[in-house]
Amino acid sequence: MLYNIHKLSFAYTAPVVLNTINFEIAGGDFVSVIGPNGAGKSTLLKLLTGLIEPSSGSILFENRELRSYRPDELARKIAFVPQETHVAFPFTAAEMMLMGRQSSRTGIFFDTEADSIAVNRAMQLTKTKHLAKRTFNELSGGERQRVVLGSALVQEPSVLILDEPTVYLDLKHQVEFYEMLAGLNRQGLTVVTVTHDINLAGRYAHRILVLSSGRISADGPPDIVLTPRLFEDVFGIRTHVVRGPEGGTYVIPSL
Amino acid sequence: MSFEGLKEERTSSHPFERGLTPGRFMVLVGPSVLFLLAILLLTPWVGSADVTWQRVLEGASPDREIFVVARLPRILFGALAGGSLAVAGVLFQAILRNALATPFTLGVSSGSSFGAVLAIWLGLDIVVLGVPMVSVAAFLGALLTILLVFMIARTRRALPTFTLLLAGVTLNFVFAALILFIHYASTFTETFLMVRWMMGGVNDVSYPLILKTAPPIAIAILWLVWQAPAFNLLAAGEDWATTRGVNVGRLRKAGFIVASLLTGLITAVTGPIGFVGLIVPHALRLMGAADHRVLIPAAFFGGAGFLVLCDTAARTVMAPTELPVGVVTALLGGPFFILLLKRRSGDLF
Repeated sequence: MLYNIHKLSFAYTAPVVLNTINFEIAGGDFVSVIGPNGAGKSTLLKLLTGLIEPSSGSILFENRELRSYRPDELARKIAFVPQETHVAFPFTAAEMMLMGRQSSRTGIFFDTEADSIAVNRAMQLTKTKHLAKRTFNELSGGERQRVVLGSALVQEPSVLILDEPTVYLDLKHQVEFYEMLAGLNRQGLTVVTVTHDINLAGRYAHRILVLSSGRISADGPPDIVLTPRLFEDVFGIRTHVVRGPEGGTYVIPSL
Repeated sequence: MSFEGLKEERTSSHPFERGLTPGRFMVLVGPSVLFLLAILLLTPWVGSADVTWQRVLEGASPDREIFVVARLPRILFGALAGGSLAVAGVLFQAILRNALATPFTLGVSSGSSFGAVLAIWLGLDIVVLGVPMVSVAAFLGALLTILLVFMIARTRRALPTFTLLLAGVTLNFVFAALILFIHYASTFTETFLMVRWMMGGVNDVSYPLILKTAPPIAIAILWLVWQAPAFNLLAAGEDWATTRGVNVGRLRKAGFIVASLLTGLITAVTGPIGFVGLIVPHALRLMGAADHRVLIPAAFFGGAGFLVLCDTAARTVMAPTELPVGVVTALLGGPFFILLLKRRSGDLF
């Protein structure tokens, strides 16, 4: 198992955000975490990336306590893509992607052949080569998100963790982005996303983890987990759950 | 994941991205170096008295005196000061992730002004072992500010950006009030000395002073250049840096201390000189030097040239009267700052 989460709890102050949850994530899986607002999804992702530490319980990553890893060790294994990235300075897309090499740089000062190979490969995977010299801030939302994904891939991680990565993208760019994730997943990369877009999750994820009020209320393949009953119980909304013409599970709220 | 397909990629329509190579470094930093060299070669010949190089080289002459004793140390220290202030600006901007931050933003400059003003008021306008006590007090004022900012901004996380900014703004107000109080309680002569000090100038410098301040500045710049890749990540974002392996808390503290010491060291000698740390980094970023590996050295050379140029203007525009250089940089910097604010509409730097 890549992750073993055991009796994990987290609280910022008074209300408990995550309440003694247990689950595992296998290497190579594509997991989407869904749930109503305030269910603790983003907190769970921050815990999995090591940005915050559990209040109690343990997160084992590759059979070792996550908090025992040095930041640079972690950066070579776990990469994170946030909802949105804003930068106050005119870095180019290439410079943003090169920053993914921070923990594996071998050169003392200049970028090396290994650095540029990693960056060029990530550009190829995310179709961002033509953006290399452009200022990151001047790119469109979809282009920016691809560059951020590229920078995460430059870290050559074994798991990619994404917090609502397509929330600010239009339909075309949402699908394009998830297609890219699916392609990376087929090449062996473990993918964990948080999303409100249940239809995207149902189409691309192999496993859906439903969080509500800080607990896991369902966990399994999309076609088994996503049922009208679940949406009634967890989201408080009546739905039709249908098969897509090309497969996949889709949810339509009923009137 | 495999590396297949990279070979064809190298010959595709988009060039193979090489990152920062020595050649690209030269292209980006070279102009600042050439600018500084030109300034250093030209400005010693400009001034209210006509000095020719023949007479300077001839041996003992008034020309030689003016050149070697009056102009050269002032130009050399001006370069050191301008370079340090520009680099301090770069650092404060990276730490606060705000391109409009300056050494003034976090109160370091007003802290050292308070130290100097207090020393003048207490009659410490004396020189002990070759060191002016006002400068010592100004430097202590900068250290006091660092300590206060740390005490105010220390919370669960290490120095959060927003708390840092608020702490700086508050300290600026407190020091300004204390300075006003001392002004009010002082005699005319003291007040005159205080006001002159706070205008900022490089008039009172000597070769020993240059030799004493240059080594710590050189060490600071070398450390910063070595840490430049990490500062890139810090400037891009806190989570961005953390998830890529940077110890954000430690780097931010170290950067803040180094930037404050650089500012304090220079301000102790010259008084507060504003806007160098804002104009120079900004101009360089516009020219494509956002990468701190390029920006830090370029800001040092560019800032050095810029301040010497401003000081030459200060020496000559009202000749034979000399203006304090702080007045010149502020006159240039104020409008420049407003221009930046107006241009900022789309949240670009």
